[in-house]
Amino acid sequence: MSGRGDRDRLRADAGASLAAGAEVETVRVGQFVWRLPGRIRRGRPLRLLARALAASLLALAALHLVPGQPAAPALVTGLITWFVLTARADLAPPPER
Amino acid sequence: MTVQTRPGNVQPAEAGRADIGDAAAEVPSWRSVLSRLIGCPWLRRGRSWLIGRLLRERSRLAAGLLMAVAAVAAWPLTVVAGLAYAVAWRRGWPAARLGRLAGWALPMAVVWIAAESARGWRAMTLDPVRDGASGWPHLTAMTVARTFLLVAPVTIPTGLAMAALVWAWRIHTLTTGTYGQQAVQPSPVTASPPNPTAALPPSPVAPAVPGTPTALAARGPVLPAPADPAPTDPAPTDPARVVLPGPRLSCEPESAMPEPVLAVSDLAGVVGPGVRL
Repeated sequence: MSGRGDRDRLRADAGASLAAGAEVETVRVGQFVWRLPGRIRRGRPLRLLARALAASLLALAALHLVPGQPAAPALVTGLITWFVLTARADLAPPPER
Repeated sequence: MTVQTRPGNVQPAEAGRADIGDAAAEVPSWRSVLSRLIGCPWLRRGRSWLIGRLLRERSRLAAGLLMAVAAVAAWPLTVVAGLAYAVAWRRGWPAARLGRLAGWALPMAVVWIAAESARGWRAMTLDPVRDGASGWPHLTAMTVARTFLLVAPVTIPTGLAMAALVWAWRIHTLTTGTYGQQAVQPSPVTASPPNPTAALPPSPVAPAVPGTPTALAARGPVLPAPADPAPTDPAPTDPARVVLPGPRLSCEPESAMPEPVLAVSDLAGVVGPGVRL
């Protein structure tokens, strides 16, 4: 009886900690999105714009060159990954740093 | 301490070289004359050496040709790997950075696999080969770019991973000094130049008891022997067996320790013939 009670309590604790972790993650993502315009403004916006333009043009070229092929969505995914990875350098650091 | 493992033993290459050198000094053979005339010093080393050398060169050439053909056939992979390697070399990146880039390129490959699997597994396995070969009949800039893009979701992660592996291997060989012409040559610390007296036949004198003046003279300068060697020391009958002053092998207290022990070591299997320690 006591074992089952312990298990229930542990399960409840684990659920609570998971919920707390998800909440923290949501807050973190929300903060990131909320602070993004300011970080772009204080960073290098022109360079970021050029990077976004290059990624878009390359994606259009890939879609034009290999239309209807399985490689097309893969190439667009690769370009998005490249943009996300490299655009971080053009943002200003977050205020807490 | 000088240890001569086998007095009469000498490496064939050394012996052959010495013989050839002597012969060339006395009566120049037609091979040595020809080698001097056409500037090929390896010509006077003998026919078997020359055949072995040619076979080695030929196999190396065949392997190189095979690699070149494979590199041309899989040219998108070669381009990606070569570019990644060149960038890593130029900017001094560590190999792990290339590996991380290969990892970041994996989502592209995953999407490609998901899109291809909608067509069936057979198409997925054959499409890269078919797409890679599609540009060969009409080689234009557009077909080359199209071919590269068709196989890029596979070749980019693979090429980056290959470049990371090759770059890691290159850095490792450079760090440890196990690459290049000098890598196979023994260090001057571990091996001395060939002993001119090693080519002489072994001395008919019976092996001397260690510690005696005869043994010391035959084996060169030896570290001072222990003050009172144990009477049960085994006398080496084989010239390759050398008596070395060894460490104390007991864990007893200092007062109960016996006199320094002599360790008998057979160095014939450890050190190569003609090597001095």
